[in-house]
Amino acid sequence: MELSEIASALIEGNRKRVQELVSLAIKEGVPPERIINEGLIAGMQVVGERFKNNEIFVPEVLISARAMHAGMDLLKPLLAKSPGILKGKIVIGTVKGDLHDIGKNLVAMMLEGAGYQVIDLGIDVDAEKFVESVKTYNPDILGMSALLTTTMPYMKVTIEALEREGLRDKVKVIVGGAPVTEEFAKEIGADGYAEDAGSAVELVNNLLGIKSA
Amino acid sequence: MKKEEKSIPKEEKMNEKQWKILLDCAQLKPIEKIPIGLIVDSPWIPGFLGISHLSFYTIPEIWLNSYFEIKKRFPEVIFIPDFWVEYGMAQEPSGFGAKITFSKNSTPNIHPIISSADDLGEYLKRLKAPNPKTDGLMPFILEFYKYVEPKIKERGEFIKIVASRGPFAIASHIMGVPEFLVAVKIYPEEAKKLIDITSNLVIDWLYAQIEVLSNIEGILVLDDIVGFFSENDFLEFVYPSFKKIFSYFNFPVKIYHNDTNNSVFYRYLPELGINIFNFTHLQNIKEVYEKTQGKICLMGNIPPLDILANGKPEDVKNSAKNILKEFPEKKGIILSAGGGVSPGTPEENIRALIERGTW
Repeated sequence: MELSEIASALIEGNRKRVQELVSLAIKEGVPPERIINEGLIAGMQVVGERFKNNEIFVPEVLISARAMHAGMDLLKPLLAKSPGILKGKIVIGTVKGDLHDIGKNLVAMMLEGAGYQVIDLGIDVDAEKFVESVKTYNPDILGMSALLTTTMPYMKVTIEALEREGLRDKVKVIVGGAPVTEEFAKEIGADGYAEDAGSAVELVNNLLGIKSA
Repeated sequence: MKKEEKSIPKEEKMNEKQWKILLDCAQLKPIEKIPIGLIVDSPWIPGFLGISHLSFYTIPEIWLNSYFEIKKRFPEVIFIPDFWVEYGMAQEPSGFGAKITFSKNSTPNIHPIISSADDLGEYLKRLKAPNPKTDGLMPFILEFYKYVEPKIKERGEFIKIVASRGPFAIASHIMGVPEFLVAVKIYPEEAKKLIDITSNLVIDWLYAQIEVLSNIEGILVLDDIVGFFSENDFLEFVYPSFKKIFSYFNFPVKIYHNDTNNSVFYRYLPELGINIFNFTHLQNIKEVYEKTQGKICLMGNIPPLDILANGKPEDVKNSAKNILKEFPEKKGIILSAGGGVSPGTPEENIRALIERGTW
């Protein structure tokens, strides 16, 4: 089979077809890294590009990401045996007091689509949980999202908690969300700020010294 | 009526004058002075006045005095919808049974009822459409309105506009935004059923408020979720719903707020019966004018956060100046933020906006 078929099914957001094709590829003995790179990531790159160019909208991105997750679920047991094929590890969450997840989810999807392992802590995440996740997962990047001006100061609280625990130098911190600005990111001592989901991938690539596709 | 007018101090009649200005704007009549209109509600008012959100929401006297205070401080500003009883985004989703978490100093959080688009079909089977007179927080708001309206009238003011979150915003609170948007693509028929239910709630909710108030002549519908849709999806899902809502009410003022940066639906707004549109600062006002064919009043579009909340008064003035330079007409414009007034917006910046409000 052609791995580009997986990419096409993913672009269409056809979850069932992606599952079938990934299962078939596994059965045929295609290495998981090839399925990910030439199938899932290739598809998500097209989706990301089309989204950036306003050719498709958020709902289309979401169903493609859903299809990608379905494919990744089948590959996860195989990935455990060869973790090196992922570009890096990212822990992400919406800060405490904030239940908004659309921006955070889009960033997570784009990063997964770009070949990163994303550990999504969900919404309303307190500083303790962020700190614990850094200890547990040892990520390269910690991403925080906020949609409200009332919750964005909590990003600083989390950064201070990382400092107190002696973890700040072990992880790069990035922030984003509608009210967040580059200036605010600098003020609170974050390592980076991204305006949108597409820029988040470039930001992470830059911070980790990885060449963008 | 004449006798009543005589007894009202001059400065307190502003509301009546402002309503006339708003009508002129909605009807695209030439205006001598640029009106300043701001959407203000609980994200901004309690913080601005240094009171807690909880007391603002629950104690009618505090709520009333808050509105009287901001109107006294900014008599030149047309507040939209003006006296507005709300609990952030919570009132409409609460009718479906969504859990609402209140905090002392912020707007409440709404917890989705359905966790996956895959569950929507099953949810719809057991869903009973909410009745705004009996369900969730809405009956509290109706009682609140009944209590405060006479006191507002005593001051020579009127409640002229009622508001509701739009059907897509409500649906997104029931399901969470991503799952709702997924449902629109994967389960379009089920999504349409849900949208039909939330659209009916918007109508019933506005109508219930109109019933308990005595001077309503306008509606405000706020729905940012529409901004996630492509043009095709707008036509399939949003257009029929909005047509139903906006044509249901025969009022001279019909305001729609959506400050997302997506202009694919702008050209349809006039034919939906909307006559005032509050839009994002990320769009150029001249282009929005062209896309809406000069047929509706534009309300915008100072950056609400970077400029109006966090900028200097000079930045506000410059931003207003640029907007007015771009706008081609001396009618059909209300100078405002490109969205609602953000938390933390200081008095001096609103003052700067008022000062710059001349052609």
